[in-house]
Amino acid sequence: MSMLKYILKRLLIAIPVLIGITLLDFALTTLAGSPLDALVGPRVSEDAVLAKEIALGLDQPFFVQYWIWLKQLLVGNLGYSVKSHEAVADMIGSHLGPTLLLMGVSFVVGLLIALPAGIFSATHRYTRRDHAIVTASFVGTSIPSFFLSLVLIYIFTVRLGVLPSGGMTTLGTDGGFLDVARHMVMPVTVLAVGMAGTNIRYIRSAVLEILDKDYLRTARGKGIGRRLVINKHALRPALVSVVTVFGMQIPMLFGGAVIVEEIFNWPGLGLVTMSAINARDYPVIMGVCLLSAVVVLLGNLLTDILYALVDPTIRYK
Amino acid sequence: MNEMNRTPLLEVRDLVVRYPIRGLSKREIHAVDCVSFTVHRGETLGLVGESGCGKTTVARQIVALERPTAGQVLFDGTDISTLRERELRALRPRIQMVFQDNDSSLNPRRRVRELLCAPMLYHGLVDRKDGAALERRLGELMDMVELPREALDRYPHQFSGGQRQRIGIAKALSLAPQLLVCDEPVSALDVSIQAQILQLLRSLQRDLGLSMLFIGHGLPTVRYISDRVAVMYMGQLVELAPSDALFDRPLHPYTRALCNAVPLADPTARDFTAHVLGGEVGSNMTPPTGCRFHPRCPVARECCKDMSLNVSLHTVEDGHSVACPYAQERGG
Amino acid sequence: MGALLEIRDLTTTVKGEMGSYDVLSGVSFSIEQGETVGIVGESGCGKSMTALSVMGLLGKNAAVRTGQALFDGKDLVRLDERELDSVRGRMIGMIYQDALSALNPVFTVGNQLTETMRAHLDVSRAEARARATELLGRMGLADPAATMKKYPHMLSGGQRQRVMIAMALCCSPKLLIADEPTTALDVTVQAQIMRLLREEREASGMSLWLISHDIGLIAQTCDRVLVMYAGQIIEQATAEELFAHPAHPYTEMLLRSVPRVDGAREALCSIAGQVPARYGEMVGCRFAPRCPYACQACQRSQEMYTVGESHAVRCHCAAGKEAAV
Repeated sequence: MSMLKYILKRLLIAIPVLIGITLLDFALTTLAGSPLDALVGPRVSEDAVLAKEIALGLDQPFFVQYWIWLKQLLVGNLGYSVKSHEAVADMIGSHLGPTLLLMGVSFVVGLLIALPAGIFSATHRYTRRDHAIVTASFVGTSIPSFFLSLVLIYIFTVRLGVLPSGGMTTLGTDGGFLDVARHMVMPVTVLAVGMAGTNIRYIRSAVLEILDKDYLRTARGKGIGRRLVINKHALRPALVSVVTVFGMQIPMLFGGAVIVEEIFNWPGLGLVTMSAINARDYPVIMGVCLLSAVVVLLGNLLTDILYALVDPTIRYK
Repeated sequence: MNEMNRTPLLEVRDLVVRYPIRGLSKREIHAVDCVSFTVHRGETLGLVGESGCGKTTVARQIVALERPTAGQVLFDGTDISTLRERELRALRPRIQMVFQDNDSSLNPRRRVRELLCAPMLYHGLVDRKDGAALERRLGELMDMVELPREALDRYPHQFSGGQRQRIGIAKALSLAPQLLVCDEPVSALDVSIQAQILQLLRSLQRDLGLSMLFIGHGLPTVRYISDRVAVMYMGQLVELAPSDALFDRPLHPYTRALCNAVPLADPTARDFTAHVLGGEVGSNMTPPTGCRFHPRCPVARECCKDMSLNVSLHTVEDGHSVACPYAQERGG
Repeated sequence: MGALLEIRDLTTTVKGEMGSYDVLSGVSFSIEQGETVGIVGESGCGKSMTALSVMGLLGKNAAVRTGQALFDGKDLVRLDERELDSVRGRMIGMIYQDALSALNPVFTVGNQLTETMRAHLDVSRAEARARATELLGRMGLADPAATMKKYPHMLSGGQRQRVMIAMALCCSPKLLIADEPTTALDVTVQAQIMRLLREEREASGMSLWLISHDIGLIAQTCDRVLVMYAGQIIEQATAEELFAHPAHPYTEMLLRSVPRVDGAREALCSIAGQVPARYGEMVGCRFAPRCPYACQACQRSQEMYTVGESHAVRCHCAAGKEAAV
């Protein structure tokens, strides 16, 4: 009950935050120049540009433009792309799926690597295997994703020819699970390696901290076996601190996906965003910004809810 | 007797402290309720009670770290609970506090010398330019707490628990206070070290003519150091008497239970588990009506939970007062 | 019938930044079936370390170097973790000083109680819950069914300690090790807890090994008392004998350094100085630097001298005095 109230309260607080973020985004994009700048050329008359400006409402003062955008937003209209005249909502809608798929799978794979590796590393502290894992996680964190992508493409596509270098499905086919999975291997690897690199170290230090706790000694003293002591009594409290990190990584993953999608030509939001930025396609940029703001806020809320689930000592006021 | 005629150094009158609980409900924690006592010049008053009974809250009002909800704290005739911070500054050196946990009350990055100098310089007790006088004063302080002078140039973590407590005492004494408020000063120490610190406090109190408010939960310790002892239960005083009278002839059922529960270093002594109190201390958000001890009291009567029951301290014999209206009937 | 637990010449080493050193040196004693044995000493004297060595609960930087801990014919020191797990929690229960940090904050009381039973006894989940609830009731918790669903932080200090005890007793162990079980509690709660422990011990016939720095608590609870100083047992005797005729100068001074609640305020005896660092490397009597009676002979290593029926002391001087009488 109190949990539900808390979530509602957090959602209400999110509204002014979102308005603030969009206002800021709107102001920044306006400062960056007009989308019509790209049109200007010897074959386009100034009158035509001016007519276009009036048609798009770009001659209006800044706040009026923002107000119109906001009003349209409330009725579910995110505007139309300046470049392709497609509805922004449709553009985002059709590209969101692939991005979420890529993000979600990378997140899970990253976790599946990081969790056992982090725990193993902590319980075998200062052994050779621990050092190996820590070193690997450093490499994973510090290797730039574009570089790793190129290396993977070189090995698996150029040399071995076993994996497709880009896209989500093979052209001319309608995909299917296996085909999509084959296309996902490399982008997921790149994203998951970066994530796991950071998380291994967080999980390792979280578990290490727990291993020194009195209640772990109690658990050992109860004779319930090493497996339960580590996987239950140490892991669950360690998750409390790890959850925070995961929450912070959701927006990071969202940002990181843009680059990886661009490289692997993944038909997700990253591609849409990049081309919109190049074309100064305001409505699309605003739409993507709004979406990422929502993702960040939801990610934070999710973290706090998870927090409450793993740590009973936290109470919401 | 002459001492009694003069104004007491510290007089606490009807002290009430309530802490509001954050949230929508207008509930409050009744930390201290109508507590009154005096500390005479050169006297040590012990304040005992179990954790959460409000002893430390009382101390925080006396050293003016907090303002009470109601009541007065008269120090040498001045009500410090209403003074402004600027006016308090002149009084602060005269009331000093010794803490239980010196790991957290001594700055780990300062040498002992700096720890002791800072308050003296701040309050202008020693001239900053007069290095010789400062050094002399530091030497005096180290002698008082029986530490070697070389200790001045070391950091707190280089000392044992007992030695750190000596530094804490030296710091409090550096401002030449009249009243020393000691909050559980020996609770964290080993028994043999406790004895050292207790003896030090007692001799300092005698030599410097200090008044002391000694807060503790260890009954033997409080008995050892105090002239008079006040017993607190759920924010209220239940008994106040000269030390020996209180422990030899406790009148309040709570004081009795407390005394009976202390194990003695004698295998043939009376069994300390024979008369255990039932139940637990209640919530101090909604304290029991009437006598707050009645739900656990072995001799409670029906009328003990009456709202109208007078549970303020009343004197039953010379200097011995008790909050239980039926204490005398039962015979001391 | 042999002793339930017999510890022989136990020596435990800790690896520190300055190399390793012994924190326990040649600790030997035994606990009989149904007996209550107390170890008293100041912090850092090795009393908890002894219990942890026996239970195989030492941290990574500490290890038993020599000695045996025979329990039921098995040497606990030589067992591996898996073999130890059939003894810990099943045959030997242990309770710790600070129940708040000794209980896992993210699991309910019921969860932590039943997992021990499920690990050692052949019981179903429902059976374990029923037994746990009943046990909590026996521990004097007002609403055992509700307590089962609570997390440790929701309980008071006394309630938490009762839960701890229930956890240690849930498999009906033969030995209960209580390491400062009431140090964090108020006196009236301490009395409640100690009464509970005594009742449980009398009802089940188990042995109790009580570790405390509180001399009064030890005096009034134990049949036999061991005094530890700087990693060694320096005196052992029955409680009556020890408190009536303390033989070791340290024991004697320790007893006189505690103010009494029942007596006049006689001058307290304070022991000058402090426990030496790295005492494991000392050759002679470890108390000699602080001892008012120290003499030349104290430079020699001291053994346990028998000074009476079931009374032994690690002091040649005290032994000599007794012998002369």
